Amino acid sequence: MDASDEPRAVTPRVVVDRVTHRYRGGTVALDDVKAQWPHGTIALLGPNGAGKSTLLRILVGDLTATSGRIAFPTGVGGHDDEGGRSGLGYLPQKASWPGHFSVEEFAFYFCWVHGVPKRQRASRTAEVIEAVDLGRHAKVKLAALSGGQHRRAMLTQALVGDPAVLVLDEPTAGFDPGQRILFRELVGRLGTDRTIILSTHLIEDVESLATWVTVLDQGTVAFDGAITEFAPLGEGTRSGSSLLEKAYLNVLGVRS
Amino acid sequence: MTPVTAADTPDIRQRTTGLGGVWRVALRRSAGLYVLPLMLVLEAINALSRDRDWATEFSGTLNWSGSALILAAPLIAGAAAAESVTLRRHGAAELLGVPQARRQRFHAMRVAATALWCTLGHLLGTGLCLGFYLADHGWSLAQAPDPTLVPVLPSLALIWTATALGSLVGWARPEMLTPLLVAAGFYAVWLLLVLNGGEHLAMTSGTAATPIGFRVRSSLIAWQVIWFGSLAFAGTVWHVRPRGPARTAIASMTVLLVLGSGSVLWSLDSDVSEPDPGARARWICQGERPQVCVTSEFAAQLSSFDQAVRPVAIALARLGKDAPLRVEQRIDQQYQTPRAMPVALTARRDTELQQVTYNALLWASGCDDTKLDLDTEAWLNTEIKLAGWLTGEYAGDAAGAEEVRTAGPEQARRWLDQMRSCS
Repeated sequence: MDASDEPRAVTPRVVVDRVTHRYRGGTVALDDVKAQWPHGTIALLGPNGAGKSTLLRILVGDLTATSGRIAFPTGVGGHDDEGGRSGLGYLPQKASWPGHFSVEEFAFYFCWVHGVPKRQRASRTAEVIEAVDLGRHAKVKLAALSGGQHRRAMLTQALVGDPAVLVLDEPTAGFDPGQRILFRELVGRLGTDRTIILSTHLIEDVESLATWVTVLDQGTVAFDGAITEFAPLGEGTRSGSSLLEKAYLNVLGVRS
Repeated sequence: MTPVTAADTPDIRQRTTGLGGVWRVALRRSAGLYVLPLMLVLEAINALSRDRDWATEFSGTLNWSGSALILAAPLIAGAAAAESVTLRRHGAAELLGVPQARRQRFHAMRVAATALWCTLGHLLGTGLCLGFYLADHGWSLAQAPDPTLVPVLPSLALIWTATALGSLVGWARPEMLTPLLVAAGFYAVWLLLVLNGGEHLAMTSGTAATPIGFRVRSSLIAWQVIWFGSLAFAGTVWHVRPRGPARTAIASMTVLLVLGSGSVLWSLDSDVSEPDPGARARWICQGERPQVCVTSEFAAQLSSFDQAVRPVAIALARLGKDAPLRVEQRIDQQYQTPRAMPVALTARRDTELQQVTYNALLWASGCDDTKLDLDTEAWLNTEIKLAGWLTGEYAGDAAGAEEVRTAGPEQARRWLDQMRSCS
């Protein structure tokens, strides 16, 4: 189902309007992608090469779409030096930083990089460190953190501007089960007052976090709708261990 | 992990407030902090080398201090490149995101933080050199005719250039070998500059040697600062704004750079040339027949100069050659004063007595040793014997040494006559 063809009851936070992107050499990464994402946690699913990362890069402005556009009808949030709201929070897949910075230095530094007003930097630093549960590790060097702690520390830079839209690109990739659970809890808390767009390969992430699901396959939208619309698609399918896995395979299988 | 509560973190706000600002973080975590000890070692080695014989003039001391950057600047560029490579490989580009303002803030402060540490290192080195100068001159600037620190400006501009360009290249090519290649490339540029006549630009302080010593060159300072400053600016601008109008700005700046350099080069020629150094020199003299004179910059060395040359001048008189009315420091290839005996640039009895003597004998003979009509080798051997007889330090073969040891004044006069027969 292509949900963008249907009217939405609520004002969408993000509108992906017929976005197409061709890389040099002619490879089409996204082909006329349409989606409307409401407030909540949006899970962006799809196999490798489906176009998820390309769509996220266009979303955060790192790439310019060959055609089409992405709009934020209600703004994206974030404070700049003038006290206005600009920018969105983004945790890239390969987020890292030299390990000789402490957690609080890293967050404080990115307050400045993101243009948080000077008088608010210290308090914002404390808030985001507390928000990612690293209060006890504020003075610890990044190099001394575990994988999960390091990922949370990286998340602070996406939060310092207090964005209304937070983009997370495979945030739990490479985590052990315990770290994954903790990170999911964190994302769940962060999602209470902001829209989160979450690219992931893990159905468990979708199960515990998502309110909305968009499935990309070969650069096109295979599904875009509420989780409550997505889950029933798994009924009657034999493959997959959970209803959402079955639904995911079913969506991709139907298309293939 | 147990979730952290507010009760667990009562002092986070206090601690982050106490960080002391983003400059403190940037400086504490800059690559420059790691370069600083290396720079201090290089600066100290530079200051302690060559037995401090560079500390005779104020501007010459600054020039020597600047020369430390010939070694240090490529290392600074390499370190800046290493910082960029590290950040890039850690994914800093992705974390910074798209807004130009973020990238501009980040890169500009990073370059500034590294350059500030290196600037501090060089200024400490310069301070050490000037400390030696002052120690050798009674802790006074009275003998420094032009005690200006302006010649340090090109050195500082060079440090910022090295940082900006190294940082730019490291960011553009985040490979492990990049820092090494940046440093090696910088050394290669130095070499090419010197080999192709660009030694004025390769000099790292705004002073230049003249026939009467080191002198501050306003044109040279302006030229170097324009060059290095433009490169530093262009490197930083290119770094923070790799697309769009930055290229236009850099192209415009390059044209201005060429025009500015051209105009400075035009004046550099007249600034560097020295039409009449003797007329410019202010002489300080002591004693009578011969009156021994040095230029004012060498006033502190007048006594040692006198001790070095007076015995030679008197010995010449014993050989029938009239004692010169005046013995003066040679500041050019031309004789400055009629009947004056010009001798070496500086005169320290321990190292330059032989040279003083050779100059004296050349003057006494009235010959030009580059245009001798007679057997040059025989003439030079005679000069060496006579110089050895005068100073007691013969520099020739064993047979000659015996001849010099047993020679009396008559033999010495004959040697002098042989030397005079050149014309």
